[in-house]
Amino acid sequence: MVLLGLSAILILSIGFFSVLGTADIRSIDVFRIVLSKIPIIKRHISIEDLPASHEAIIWTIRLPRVLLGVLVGASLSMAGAAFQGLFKNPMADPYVIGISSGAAFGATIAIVLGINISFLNISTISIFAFIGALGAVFIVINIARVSHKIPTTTLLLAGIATSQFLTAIMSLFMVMNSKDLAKIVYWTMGTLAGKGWKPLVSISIPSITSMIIMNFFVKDLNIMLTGEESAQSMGVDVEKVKIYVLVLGTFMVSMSVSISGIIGFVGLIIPHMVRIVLGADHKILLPASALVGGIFMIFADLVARTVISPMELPVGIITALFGGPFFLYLLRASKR
Amino acid sequence: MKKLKGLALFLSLLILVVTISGCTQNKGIENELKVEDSSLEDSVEIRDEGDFPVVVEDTFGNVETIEQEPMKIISLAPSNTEVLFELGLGDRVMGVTSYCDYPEEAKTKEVIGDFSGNNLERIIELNPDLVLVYGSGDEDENRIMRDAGIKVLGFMSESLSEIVDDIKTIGKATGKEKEAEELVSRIVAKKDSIVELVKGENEVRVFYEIWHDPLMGAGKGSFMDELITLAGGTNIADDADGAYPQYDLEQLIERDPEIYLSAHDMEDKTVESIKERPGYSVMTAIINNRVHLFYNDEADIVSRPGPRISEALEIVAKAIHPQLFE
Repeated sequence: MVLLGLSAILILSIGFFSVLGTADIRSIDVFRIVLSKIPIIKRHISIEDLPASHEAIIWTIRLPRVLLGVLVGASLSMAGAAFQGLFKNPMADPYVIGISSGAAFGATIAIVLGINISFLNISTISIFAFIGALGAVFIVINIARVSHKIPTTTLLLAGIATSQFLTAIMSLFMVMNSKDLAKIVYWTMGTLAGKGWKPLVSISIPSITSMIIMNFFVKDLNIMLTGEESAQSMGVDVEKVKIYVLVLGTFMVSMSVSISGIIGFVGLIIPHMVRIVLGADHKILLPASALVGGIFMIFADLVARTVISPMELPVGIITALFGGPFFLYLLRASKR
Repeated sequence: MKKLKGLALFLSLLILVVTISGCTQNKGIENELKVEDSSLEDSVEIRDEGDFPVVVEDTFGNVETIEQEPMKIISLAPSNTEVLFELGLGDRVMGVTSYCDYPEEAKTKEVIGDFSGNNLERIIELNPDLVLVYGSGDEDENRIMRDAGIKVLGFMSESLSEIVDDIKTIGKATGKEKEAEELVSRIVAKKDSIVELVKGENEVRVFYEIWHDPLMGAGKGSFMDELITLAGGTNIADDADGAYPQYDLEQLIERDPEIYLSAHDMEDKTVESIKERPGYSVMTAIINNRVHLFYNDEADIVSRPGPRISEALEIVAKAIHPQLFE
């Protein structure tokens, strides 16, 4: 029921936030442009009276940006919720096992070396960021693995240590190639602007698929909340679940991060907010986090792209600016 | 035990003495500075061209009295290095930064500054007469250099008129006032000829891309904004506050630039790749094939507020009105 409500709100927000923007285009025209792209309906809609620039702004810039925001917010939040449950650690976020530093490291290498191997319409930097993120997590998991087990504490420590190490190498690259310094810094700040349809289409199917598969593990995650030993005795293959959840979470976040850069805060705060309001049952928590994460992300991006037009703010500033106080309010309210 | 106590007493006395003498020394320097300040107006009046001492003031209001013609100069900014070489002071330049790549000869000089900072020890060791720092420089470094008796000047030119002023100031500080005047009049003459050339041409809408992901343009108050305006263009991003704002793509498409400029700063940034960016296909600059990328030297010239500014203006004017330069 809650999920249906949230889905409805998400769809409404997509519509609402697509209409809002800095370009001077009437709301009705926005809908006409979008409808004119849908097969069957498009026969009944003519947008010949509208300038081509309006069509370009709505169809190739704003709509994919909003949808990418949904995807990025959803995968960060869902992975955050799953990792927090898996590690039983409220400080865990999707970046804790090295995804962000791995991605940033990969992007840095691509920028510094000026490599050009575009593939499937995804930019070189994105490809390297994706490989970097997966590589970092692979290393972290292997360092943390003791025979066939991955103790949570070791995993978190290995994640932090590897992150620091990669960040240090990245800083070294930045010092040695100072002309690329600004580019690296901008990449790590993250943005949803100007990506278009191609990267969105490339990541949407694998992202959504891994989000759906993640929901198969909600029961196991719920049982694991009672402790790994008791979960094991109740017939949950704890280590297997760990690996699956880690791999799925890493996969969906790496794809988002490789396109959007590192957008912080969403993956940490949204799961907590949802948990405070809706409870810790992963059956609700995981999909609800994804939906709320998507809504919050496109709201933050709307503010980022409109508030000081014609300039933009880095969206990470907005997520922290609005998310922080709201989270603190929920935290206090729930403690009373 | 007694011996130890005696030693401790001696050491603490020693420290005390050194501290006090250090303090008094500093006071002495402050007094000297005050004297220089008060004598400022008089010396400006009586000074003859090329004669020392001269009193100069940099962009940040630092006043330095230069007693003798500086024979050993260190430049910590590429634009200042270019000015020094243009004034014929190349052989007096002892040290530069790793960014100082023009003229060719500048690359043969000792590198004592790079991104990570300046080699202050080496600067003091070289004992130059004059150091031109980048921007306002580092306050602590400046103080240390001044304490060592080195004259320190900082320049931050953001516009053509400031560049002209700074060249004159550097000329005055180095005893090359005549050369500076000549250089300035060459720059101004070339600027005027280009402004004259583009006069009467239609104003075209121009966008200069600083970086593409996220999109950043050259906003109001940037060096490029002035170049575009002088070259007969309208910078569509000139209402954005700050020199290098992150720019909204929707606004870019809506304002529809007729000329799209950028520096070739990445291997995969080409005219073709810019044309393929989402939404760009409807832009007049793309339809009319008016995307212009500045490569290597050109990119340096248009981004460096130095004596090659008139060349920078010519490069930008050529990109905006190519028909005038055929």
